[in-house]
Amino acid sequence: MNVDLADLAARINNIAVVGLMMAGLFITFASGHLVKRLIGLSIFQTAIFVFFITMGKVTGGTAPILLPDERTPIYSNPLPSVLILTAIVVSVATLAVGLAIVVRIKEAYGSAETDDVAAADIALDADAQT
Amino acid sequence: MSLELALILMIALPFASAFVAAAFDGAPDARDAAVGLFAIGTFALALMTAGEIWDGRAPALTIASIAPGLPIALRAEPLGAAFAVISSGLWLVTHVYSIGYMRETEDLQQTRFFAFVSLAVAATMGVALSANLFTLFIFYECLTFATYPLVVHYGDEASRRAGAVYIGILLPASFAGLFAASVWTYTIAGRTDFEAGGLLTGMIDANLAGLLLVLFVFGCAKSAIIPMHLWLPRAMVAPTPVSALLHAVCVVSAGVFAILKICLFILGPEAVATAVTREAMTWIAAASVTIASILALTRDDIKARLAYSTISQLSLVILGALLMTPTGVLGASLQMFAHAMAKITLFFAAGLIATSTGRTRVSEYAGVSTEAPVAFWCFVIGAASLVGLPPFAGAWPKLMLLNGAAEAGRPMLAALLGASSVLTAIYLFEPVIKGLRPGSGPVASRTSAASFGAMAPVITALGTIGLFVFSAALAAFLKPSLL
Amino acid sequence: MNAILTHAPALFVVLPFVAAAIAALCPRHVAAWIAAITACLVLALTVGYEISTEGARPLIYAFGGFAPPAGITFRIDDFNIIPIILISAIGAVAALHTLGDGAHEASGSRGSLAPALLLLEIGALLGVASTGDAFNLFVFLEVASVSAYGLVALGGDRDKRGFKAAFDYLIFGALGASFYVVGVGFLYMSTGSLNFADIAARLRVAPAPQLEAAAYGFLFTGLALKAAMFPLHGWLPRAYALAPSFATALLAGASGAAALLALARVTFGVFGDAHPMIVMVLQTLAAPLGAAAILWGGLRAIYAKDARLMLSFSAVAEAGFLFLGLSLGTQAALAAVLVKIIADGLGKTTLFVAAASARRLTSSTSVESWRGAFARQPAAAAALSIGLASTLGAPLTLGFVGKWLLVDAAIARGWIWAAVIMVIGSILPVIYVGRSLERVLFQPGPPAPEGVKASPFSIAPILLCAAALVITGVASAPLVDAAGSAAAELMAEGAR
Repeated sequence: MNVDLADLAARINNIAVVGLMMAGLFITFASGHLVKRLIGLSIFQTAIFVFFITMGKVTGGTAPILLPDERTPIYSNPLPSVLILTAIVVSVATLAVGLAIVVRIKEAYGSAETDDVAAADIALDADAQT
Repeated sequence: MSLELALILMIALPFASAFVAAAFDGAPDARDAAVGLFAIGTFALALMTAGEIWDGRAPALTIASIAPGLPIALRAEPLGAAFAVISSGLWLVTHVYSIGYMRETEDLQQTRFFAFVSLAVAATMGVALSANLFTLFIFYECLTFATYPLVVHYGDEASRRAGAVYIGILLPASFAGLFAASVWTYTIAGRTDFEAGGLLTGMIDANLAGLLLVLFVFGCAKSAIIPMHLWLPRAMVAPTPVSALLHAVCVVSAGVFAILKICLFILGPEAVATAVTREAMTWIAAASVTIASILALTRDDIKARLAYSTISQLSLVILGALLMTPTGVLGASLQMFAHAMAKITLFFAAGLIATSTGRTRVSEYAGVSTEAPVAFWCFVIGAASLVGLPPFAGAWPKLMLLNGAAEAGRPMLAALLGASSVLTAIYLFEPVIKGLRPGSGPVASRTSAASFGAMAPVITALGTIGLFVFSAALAAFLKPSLL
Repeated sequence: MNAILTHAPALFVVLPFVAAAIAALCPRHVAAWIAAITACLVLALTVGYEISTEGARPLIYAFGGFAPPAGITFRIDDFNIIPIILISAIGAVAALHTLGDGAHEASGSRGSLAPALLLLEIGALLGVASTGDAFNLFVFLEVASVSAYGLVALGGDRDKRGFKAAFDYLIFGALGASFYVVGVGFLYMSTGSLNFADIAARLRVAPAPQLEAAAYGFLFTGLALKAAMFPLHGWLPRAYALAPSFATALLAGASGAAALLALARVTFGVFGDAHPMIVMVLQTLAAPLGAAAILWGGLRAIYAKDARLMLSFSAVAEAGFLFLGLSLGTQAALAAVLVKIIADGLGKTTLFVAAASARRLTSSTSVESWRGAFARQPAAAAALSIGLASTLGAPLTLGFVGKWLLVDAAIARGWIWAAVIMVIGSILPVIYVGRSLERVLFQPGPPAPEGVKASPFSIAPILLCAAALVITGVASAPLVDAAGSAAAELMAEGAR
């Protein structure tokens, strides 16, 4: 297969985004510690931020600032960056709630390891069934 | 009173009766009298409606609308009106019988019993008077829910298991069969009205007709066609009046009534005749007739024997509906009414024999004719009617079904019908012959013969004779509904 | 009055949000009253808005006067007005329940958090249902989700498994939202717009097949996670079973419905039912997975001993019905889905609140503890029975109408297999609903303990819900007509 290196280089951001998303997803589900799973989630969400921000980049564009004179420079699309500002807030809020829940889990179960919590849950389920 | 009002009252009266019964919980006499009055009112309305139909009117009423083409609507046509008359009339008789039976057995849940019997009758009247398949389905399901408390009446382990089987067969079958086929009908036709000549005539091919026929027949599992019959013998754990009601008035009759009505007015003769599964279904019905007769022979418990007898006798109705010849369909309709009259007589009689002499098994029946003569001779009349002997109601339909089979060019079926009559004679006359022999004294003497309830089988036994005499009039009344 | 109605769409959301902030600062009883009054006000507002805008819809409400597509808009049309009323009604039931039998479920220092979170959830779900902007939808989804995580975690105070359930919910919910926002990114790349109506118009003029396919794939996955489509439903049963009852009443009734509604809007309102990617996803993903959910949820509900777990699995099966219905992709199916959403929403809310009231008297959550419920508390048991009957799809309830319309749509579409699955899916409840009803109505149970009584704040609203289920089940023609025209409008929007 012919790989167009220039094309690949132009899409390096997308490759990075996909790589980060996969890494984030993997950590979210495969990690043995609840805090690490939240970190994975954060990596996943950060990858999406990168995706949005790089989407708005216009080649040769500058910051979108309106100049006093008549020149209209080429500037990058500011909207995705603005959107991501909101998304970051949302993500921080989710992370905060997640960490708070992990604290409560640690208090209640005495551990924040996925396996310990799962084992305790299974024992409790068995109690509830009988 | 306007005819439309009569239509809705025929359902509303028994429905209200349930609440009146509940309101008079502390006063059994007032309660039973009130329910009796409601039953008389319902019966009178049914007779009046039938009279109006005889005069050529066809009252109809739309209650509510679910979606375009899906109204909850009532319409009285001859077949349904006749069913309503028989059902409400037998409710009245059953009520008289129940009053005696429930007091004699010192039942603790009498109010609940009378309330749910009333609800079941209300649902049955709804089935009888439905103007479309959709309404029929709704009342059919209501009937299932209303009769469940009656089946589990005694609340013991056996009753609860019977109730589970009852619901576990009837509901899934009605969803998988009746519901699915009804929706399909609606999808094809855009409405579900019962129409002379068949709503779906010309709209479906032989394959689809075949599929719908199977769904409808097995979907109406209340008809207890084999293999959907399993609930019926188990439901015998209920009190005798409930069994009588289930077999003759409400449930099984409603099942075959629904099948008859669907074959006539939804699928239509043409679709039934061309349906690819018609042959198979005919033989299943025929097998149902024969197998149930044979099973009845093997049962010693009289109520179980009567239960299998119901399966056998009402499968004849399905058989007649599937023949789709004018005589066959008329025979099927008459069989439904004749069976109701005869079977309720048999249950009343068997119940009276059980309460007065303590005999519940065929093998113990020796001496019954002297110990409980009235009940015994009513039993004989009911048995003779079911076998098809004149001058009892069962004679005409048997003859017509035979004719219908011959008309359709099915000598095998005609032979089978004859054989089934012979089997019926064997399993029903066995207790009769045993009963004529001298007995060894009562098995477990209970209180004196039920005084009040003893009238009931006499009334229905006379009814079987009356139905024989007026069969021609009934046939003429039904004619506009049939082929 | 006129000004209130003009700005009603904004008030749906702003009112609960502001009240939530106030409630969080108040003592527990005051907070609960604030929540109840606000939720009832919002319900009155949505109903009043529906009546006053009859025939004038669709209405576009531009926030701050910035015209679309640049500004953020709410769009109230025939399609979402019914779910908006449903969500606010369920919100009112849940909020009143915090005054009643739900009061003891959130106590101590976190007592006033519960009403506040409930209000946030109500406002956000109404935002999800009303918004006409793709990114704004994401924000509301997340506000709803974050409050939902908090609500579920409140259940951890009584049973520590609630914390873990909240954590799992958070992981899946955040992933769902993330997938959704990636989809929005692709939509933006292909059209340069975030306004649903504008996107739909631009897609017609300048299609970008690959980007559109990627966009819809992500949008679908994200919203399917939020709506708990099998096999992405793993978080749901435990979260619903372990959350406080007022939270479950709201989540089970309204949150899945809001996500599904958003999915319907994106699918049929933006891309259109003829779009090849839509056809592909619906037929190869939504249809088989919906069918699987119907069977799986139904089977698991049969084996559940805990009443709340049973109801939760029943909710999974109902989501399956909705996805299978959506996948049919016809107008009749969409109308049927709308009716089913209402039936399921009212039914589940009624059931979870009634189950909580029953638990007050028995201190148990098992189905067995429903024995003799009718003798102990006839009103709650009546609501419970009607809710169960609607779940079963018994005639004369709205559940039956929804089922009938869905099966009809499946047969009309020619998908006999889907009709068969739906029929099987309506037979499975016979077992668990039948068992439950037998316990509630016919089996004897222990008498009610002295001095403990179910609260009218819980019972009266669910009796109204149950009455609504029966009334709309008997005379459902107006509702079915409204659902039909709603579906027609949404389909027309996507077909432009």
